[in-house]
Amino acid sequence: MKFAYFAGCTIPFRENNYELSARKVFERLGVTLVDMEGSGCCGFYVEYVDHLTWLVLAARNICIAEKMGLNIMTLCNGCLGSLAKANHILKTDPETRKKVNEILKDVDMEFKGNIRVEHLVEILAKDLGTEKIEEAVIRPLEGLKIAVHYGCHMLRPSDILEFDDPEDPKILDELVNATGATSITYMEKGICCGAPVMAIDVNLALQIGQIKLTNIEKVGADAMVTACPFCHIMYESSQLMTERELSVPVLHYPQLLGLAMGISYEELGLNMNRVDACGILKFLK
Amino acid sequence: MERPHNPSKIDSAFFEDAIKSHMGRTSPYCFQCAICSSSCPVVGEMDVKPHQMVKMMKLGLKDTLIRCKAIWQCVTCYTCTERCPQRVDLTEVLTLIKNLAARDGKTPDGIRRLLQNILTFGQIGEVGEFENTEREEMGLPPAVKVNVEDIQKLLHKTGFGSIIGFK
Repeated sequence: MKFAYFAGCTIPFRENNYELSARKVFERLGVTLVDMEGSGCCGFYVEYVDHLTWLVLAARNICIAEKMGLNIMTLCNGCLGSLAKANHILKTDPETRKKVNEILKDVDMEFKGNIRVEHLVEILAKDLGTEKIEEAVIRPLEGLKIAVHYGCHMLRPSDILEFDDPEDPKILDELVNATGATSITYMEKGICCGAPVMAIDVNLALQIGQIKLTNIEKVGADAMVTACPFCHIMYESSQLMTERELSVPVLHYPQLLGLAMGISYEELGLNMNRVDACGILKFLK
Repeated sequence: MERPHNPSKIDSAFFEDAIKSHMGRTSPYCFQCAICSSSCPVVGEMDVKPHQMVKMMKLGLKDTLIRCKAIWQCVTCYTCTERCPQRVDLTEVLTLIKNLAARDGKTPDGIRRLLQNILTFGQIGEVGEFENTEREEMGLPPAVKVNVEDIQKLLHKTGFGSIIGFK
């Protein structure tokens, strides 16, 4: 199994340990990632100000993967949302596609519409399958209570992403349970992390982040699991930038899976998480 | 928000035009149940609530709407879109309104700064030597080189620079 890996901007800046752990886990599972040379902005914030420019930037990235003949894998929900939605519009709306292709001619590209855009979680749960993940687990994390955060753009708009039930998703909970840990229920599990307003109103963003952290503390979770660098930054920042007595480690999903597969704490970049995560090591059998 | 409404600034075709446009392509049958507002994670901070935005569109208050702070506070979580019983795609409608506001020079500074970086680096920031050294120490390959030249060509063609107020 082979994918064109779209890194986006947040990971190489702030969350290299997410990429590191994803690469380690995929290597063991026999999945090859190929870098998308020349790729650039996914277009997430561009959509806010100009719909056409957003489509053109997203289409350009999709064209790079089309030339490689591979489906795209993203680690970021923002990139997934932007690229998958643009892919859907350009596949289904011939008029818009013509307009975008006219502009792409300037850089010798043409959107053909023959690939899919997938998220790491979708690849693990659907392409490989939860059973295969269970088989790869050699050190089950029994007794570890995890609060899962999906992140909005992995699930919604559901008619385009067709990922999971947007109100009651299961896919990431099942992947967490596959590691031997237990995904626990908490209030407001589906609420946004607040990251998209970070550029406009930091306090508002942190305030939204707090809602979830408070609910997670109430149910006594040992750690939180995210699958998006943006959400991850939010939940670490919401703890570090405000005065909180309790701290909840925030793990990128492949870090949790990697531990259960027998990969070391350092190899998974867990020593780089900003909220100390070493408390979870006591759950390793 | 600007009050009272200036009648001369009412655009009676605003809603009709919006729902026919690509972005706002949505069902027009809002019946003001306000499930959008009760589902919204930022509603408490908004000067105009999501269901009021739809009403304002129907009343042709385009000029007032593009000045609202609330349109930029939307986190684009799509919860309102998913839950609307009348299939109004409010998240996309807000994209349209934000696009109109941007062309009127109202993009918030925080967003403008991020977007200006795309004009220069082809993405929201430049991954330089510092980041790549960190990656190397971790055993990661260098970050992919962005084709800035091609991206700049495309941005020039769509007039992106002038939309966000840079030449």
